[in-house]
Order: sequence, then C-alpha cells, then structure tokens
Amino acid sequence: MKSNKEKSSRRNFLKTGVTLAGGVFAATLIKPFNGVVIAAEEPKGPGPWYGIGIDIEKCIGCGTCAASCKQENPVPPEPFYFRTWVEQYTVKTDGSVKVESPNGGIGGFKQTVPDEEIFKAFFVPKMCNHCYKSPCTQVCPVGATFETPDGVNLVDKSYCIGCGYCIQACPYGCRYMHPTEHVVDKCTLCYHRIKEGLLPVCFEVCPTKSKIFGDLRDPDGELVAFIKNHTCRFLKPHLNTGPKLYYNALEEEVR
Amino acid sequence: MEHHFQRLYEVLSQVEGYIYPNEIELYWSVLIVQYPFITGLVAGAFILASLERVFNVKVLRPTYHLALLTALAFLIVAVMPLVSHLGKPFRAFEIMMTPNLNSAMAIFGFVYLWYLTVVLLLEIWFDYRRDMILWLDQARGFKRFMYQILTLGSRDISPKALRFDDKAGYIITVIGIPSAFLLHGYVGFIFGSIKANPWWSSVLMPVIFLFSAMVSGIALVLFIYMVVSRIRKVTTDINALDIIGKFLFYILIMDFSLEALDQIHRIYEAEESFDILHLLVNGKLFFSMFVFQIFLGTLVPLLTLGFMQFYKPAVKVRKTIYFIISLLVLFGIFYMRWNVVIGGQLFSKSFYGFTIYKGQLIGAEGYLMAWFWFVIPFAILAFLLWLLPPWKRHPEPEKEPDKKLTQDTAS
Amino acid sequence: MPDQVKRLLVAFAIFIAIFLLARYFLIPDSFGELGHYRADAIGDAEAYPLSHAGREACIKCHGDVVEEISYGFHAKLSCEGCHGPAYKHAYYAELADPQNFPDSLMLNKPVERDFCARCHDRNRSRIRFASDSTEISQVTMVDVSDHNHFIYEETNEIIRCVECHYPHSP
Repeated sequence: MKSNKEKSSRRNFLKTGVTLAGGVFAATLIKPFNGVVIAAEEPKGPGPWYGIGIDIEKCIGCGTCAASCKQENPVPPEPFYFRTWVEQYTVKTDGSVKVESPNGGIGGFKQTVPDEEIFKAFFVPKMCNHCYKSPCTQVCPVGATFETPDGVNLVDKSYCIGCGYCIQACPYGCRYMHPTEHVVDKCTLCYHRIKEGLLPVCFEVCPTKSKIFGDLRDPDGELVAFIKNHTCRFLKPHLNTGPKLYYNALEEEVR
Repeated sequence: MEHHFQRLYEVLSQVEGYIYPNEIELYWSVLIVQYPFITGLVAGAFILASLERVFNVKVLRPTYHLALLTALAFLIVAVMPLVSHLGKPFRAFEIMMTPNLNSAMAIFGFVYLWYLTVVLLLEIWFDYRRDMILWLDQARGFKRFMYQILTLGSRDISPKALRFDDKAGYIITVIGIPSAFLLHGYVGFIFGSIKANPWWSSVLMPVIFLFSAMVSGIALVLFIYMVVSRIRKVTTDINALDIIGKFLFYILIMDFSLEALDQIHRIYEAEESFDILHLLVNGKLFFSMFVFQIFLGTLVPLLTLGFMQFYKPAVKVRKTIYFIISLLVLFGIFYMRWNVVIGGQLFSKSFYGFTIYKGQLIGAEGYLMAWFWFVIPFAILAFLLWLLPPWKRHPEPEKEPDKKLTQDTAS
Repeated sequence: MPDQVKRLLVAFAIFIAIFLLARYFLIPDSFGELGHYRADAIGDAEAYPLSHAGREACIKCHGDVVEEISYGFHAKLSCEGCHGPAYKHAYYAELADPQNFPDSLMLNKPVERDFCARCHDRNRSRIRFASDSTEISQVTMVDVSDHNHFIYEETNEIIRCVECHYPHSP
C-alpha cells in the first residue's frame, strides 16, 4: 500500500516534468522546423541570379579550366576528384561514340582516333549545373547543401555528415567525397571570387572565352545575350533538374 | 591515405568505357548493402510475429516472442552500418535535429525511431511486463537490476492491468504492421526516389524491398528458431515450421513476381539507359544476380517449397530442408541488396562505361566491419533471450476478454 | 489509466523533453534564417582565400609585358592560365623588396612542347567546318609530334616551341 505522501510526491514530479517539457517545447518553437517546399522555382527577391553559358564550339580542350580550379580551390590533386573537367567526344563513322577525359583534361588531350574514322569530334567542359530544382539539395538529410539566394549550390562543410546521398542524386557526377575532409565537395562557382566581383577561375583562365558567367536576371547582360543568340540546351533535360548551365551546340551524344 | 589512392589508381586502370571522373570511387560500399538487409530482417520478423497475434495463427505461437526479440535485436543495429559509413559519424545526430523534410533519408530517422520506441519496445514491454514482475522476485544481481528498470517500478499485475496490457499489445501490433511496411518500404524509397539512377529509380522499388524484407525476415526467424532449439536441446515444432515454410513460399512467389515485373518492364520499355543496364546485368552482376540472387536465393527455395506443398518428406528431412532453405534465402536476399546498392553504382550516369567495386577486408568500410554489424545483432539477441526467455514465460491465466478479442478479430 | 501507463507516459515525456532540449542546444544559430540550412555557411564560402589574382595585379609590376602581349594573338589570355595562380606572388610583391623575392613564390614559365600542345596540337576535336567545308578553328594548330621535330644531338632534347615563337607574341 502506498502512502499518500509518496503519491503526492509522484504527482509533483509529474507536474514538474510536464511543465519542464512544455517550457522546453515552447522554447524550441523559436527554432521552427523547416518548410516542406522544394526550391522548385526561381527565388523571388532582388539581387543577381547566377547562371552559366558554355559555347562548345569555342572550347579547344586545353584543360586550363580544370587545372586552375584545382589550384584555386581545395580540390585534391588526384585524378578522382574534380569540380570541373573536360570531355572529348569522338563520334566515329561507324556510329559508335568514344568519350575520354584523361585526368579530367588537365594536361590536354590527344587525338586518339585517326581522322578518316571520325564523323565528328568536339570537347565539352563539364561542371556543376547549379540547378534550381536540384536533386542533390532535395535529398540532403540535414540541410548541409543548399541553394544560395543568388542561385549557387553550396555545401556547408562544417555541417555535412558525409552520407553521400547527394553524390548518388546528382545526375551529372559533379560531387565527390573529399578524401581527407570526409565531407562532400563540389563546385562553388568560386563563390569567394564572384562576391569580390571577379570571375570564377575557370571562366577567368579560359583562353577562348568559351565559358560565360553572368546574371540571368540582367536582360542586358552577356549571359542573357548568349542564351538569346544561340540555340542552347541543358544536359539531361528529361530529369527536370532545372539546370542553369546553358550549352551552345550541345550534341545528342553528350550525357 | 596513400593506400586509398593506390587502390583508386588500380580501379582507374580497370574502368571500362567512359565514366565521369568523380564516379571512379564507389561511395556506397558493402555497409550500405548491410543496411537495407538488416532493416529488412527487422520488418520481416515483425510481420511474422504479427501473424500470430493479429491474424491469430496459433501454430506460430512457439516463434512469436522469438520473432519479436529478433526484430528488436536487429533493429537496434539497423542504423549502425549507415552511421559507421558516414564521413562524419559524430554528426549523425543532425539528422534528428534539423531533418530536411524533403529528404527520404531524413524522414527515415523518424520512421526508425517510431518503429523502435512506439512499436517494438512497447509491444515487447506490454508482452513481458507481467513476466518481468514475476521474475523480479527470483532474480538476483544484474538481472534483477534490469527488471527493476524495465518494469519502470510498476508492480501492478492485477487482472485489470493485465487485460490492459493484452489489449495495448494487440493495438500496437495492429499499428505495427503498417509501421513495418512503412519502415522497409521507406528504405526502398531511399533508392527508388533517385531519378538520376535508372537502376534504382523505379516506383516498384519500395514494394520489392518490402516483399524481399518479409522473405528474409521469415527465413531469419526460421533459422534462429531452429538454432535456438538446437542449443536448448528441445525439438522444433514441425507444425510451426511447416506453416512458416508455407508463408515463405507464398511471399517468395510475390517477391519474385514483383522483381520479374520490374525487370520485364525495364526490358520492354528499353529506355535510354537500357543498353548500359543490359550490359551491367549480363556482365558485372551476372554471378551475384543470376546465380546467387535468382537461382540459389529464389528459384531453388521456391521450387523446393512448392514441391513440399504437395509432397511432404519425413519430419527429419523436412527440418533439414527448412534449415538449408532459410540460409539460401538469406544469402539470396543479401545479394539482392548487393545488386541494388553496388550494381546501381557500377555503371556511369553518363551510360558510357563501368567502374568496379574493389572491396576491402579491413577498414571502416571493409567486409569485416560489415560482418561485425551482422554478428552484433545475434549477440544482442542472445542477451535478450537470456533476459527475456520466451520459454520461461509464465502460463497466462485464463481470462474471458481473450475470447472476446478473438471474436473481434474473427469478425 | 492503469499505473504502468502513467509510468510509461512519464518515460516518453522525459525522452521527448531530452530530444527537444538537445534540439534547442544543438541547432546552429543561423540555421533556417534563409532556408533549410545554416545561413552563415554562405559567409564561410565567401571568406575562402583567393589564389588567382587577375590581370590587374600583374599590371602593377609587369605592365611592360602586359602591354607587349596585348598586340599579339595571345592578347586575351589570362596571365595565370599559363603562369599559375599569382595571388600570393602579387601580395608578397607589394609588401617586400622585389629584389629578394623568395623562390617559392616565383611563378612558372612553362616552356615544354607539351604545354603549347595543350592548345596548339592538331586535334580533330578543335576543328569545325564551314558550309563550304573549309576548316575553322579557334587556334592555330600544328602537328606537334611532327612540326620542326628537330633533336639536339648534345642533349638529346627536342627543340622547344619557344625557341622560334615568342609566347607573349607568337
């Protein structure tokens, strides 16, 4: 048989417990759970919204972009980690396609198929498409990768848990797990440079200016003019990822 | 680190065709194979247990508590392969703190927690509460201490309280079945929702995962029941084995049909990705898919079990067959997970080539680690069986509400 | 309500309270300000140090070279595309005595045939065709494995491109 005293002490404990829990709960309301909406449309508001144009007709496949990216940014030098790289496509006369990217194009390319077997050949620089319906930010379990208000997809390296889900979700292979930092790394569009008014480094060093960086909201800007004056396509449009990388002269073979 | 790069250079030399440079390293290793495998075992074991409770399959009584404890033992470990695979394991708590509600993986944290605390722990607690209170008086030392904590200090075993326990346990099982479906369907969704990967991106993926989970869970309980009986030197109940075998047969048929449907659909539609997947299945996945998963893990058990629906060999032979089949099915389902997880990363998303998976024995992502996370649940199960032995439970007092309950279910 | 359920509810309440408390302390301050992420991470990305300084920095000391290059075919090239990142080089040059410039901060002067070949080796991928089948190319191309393939007997080295072509005005 329990004494009354015991009972009342338990009731008091319950009361304190509930009050405490309620108080804490109220306090956590200040930190709201996030919204459930995917950034599926262009964010409203002032300021730039960055995009990229790449003119495949101008690219000579020197690989300077890939090399300088590794020097500007903390990308490991080993040939398994790239924020930007160049691919050489060779469509042969028999219809087969040969794609190459030795060391991501750093150090240049050699022509590996004799002229008479080539139907057409070209280089395609690749980099993060900075999609605005990006599948990578959609799947991040903790909110460590996100799109900035000016349209750049970034990874918060101090918050990333390194699960690699975003690497699986990116259809363009633009993300990798940093071998020493153990978090995901990707193109930042040289965010530290563009905020200083400089070009991203791969745009800066391109000898033929085949890469165009600009603000998609600026109707008189270079990028909008490029998109307007060329027949531009995205990579893998059927996946509806909303890429902001516009390719001129993108061939069917490029994936 | 040097060793790591050395390995990657070797992989690089074995790349076929063209793959994106970042795809050379395969990030989801054998540990991520282990994760859906173990989670599937949990869901399957629970669903088998719920057959007895909710659908009143009395023959399964001997395996009921064993199945529940198996589910718990494996569930406790289920997220460990995932966590130990993380680049930053100590940041894992962020999934619970700031879950991105758009992410399948983040929601899985809550589904897991719901299933662990609200379904499994509660069900086992209500089931064992009376026994723990009765055991408490005889137990000494650590065991007694555990019972004291686990009973939460309550000593109430009045008929009214027990009636409540029973009812609560029943309701939880009813909630538990959709929860188990949710748990493993969700694991399937983690893969099925990745539109970038044509090998994963399938609306059938959650359903396939669910049925393969049931198959593997039932096989696991079958296996554990036979092993535990052998250790305890008691004979297994052949009626229970037969019934489990029968369920295994039916669900195996459904699982196989669903997987076949998925593949037939792929082959018939033959989308952009078909050529590379065709090469994948006939090349790098040939053994793990056609031999391990489909032949050994599915067709052999299916045909044997099907045969045994018509012709029943002697009891001893049947027991041996069930034992072998349970192992074959577990083996096959493991390779099913392997083919999904590893297979999905072997081909390039450019559809122009393949990388290879070079597993390691030692290391944070090695095979030893994977085995470790598979052995640990058995240790936990041994502990649970020591603490909460199903065979030492006190016979339940006859009570009328039980009859009422059965009527409710029947109607 | 039966006794055991009350106790159970208390256990759950404690569990939830611990969870909420942990949430309160463990969520970073700026999380959720702009979206479901740590808003300060944008600042972190901005704060990353530069490595490439840009042509403006080169002009400060090497105005004559920049002037010289601006008349030739290489006028539009970025200096750092060939010479490598120069931010530290330029930063140090402003602070210290240019005469005692540390070797570690000197930039490369790539002179190998392979380096020039990155842009100028004949490669079918660098060629487009006009409607009358004439070749169009962004760059002048030679077959680097064949063009003036002269080997010095003394050193057994191939003649370098830069021995005939001045890179700043080729």
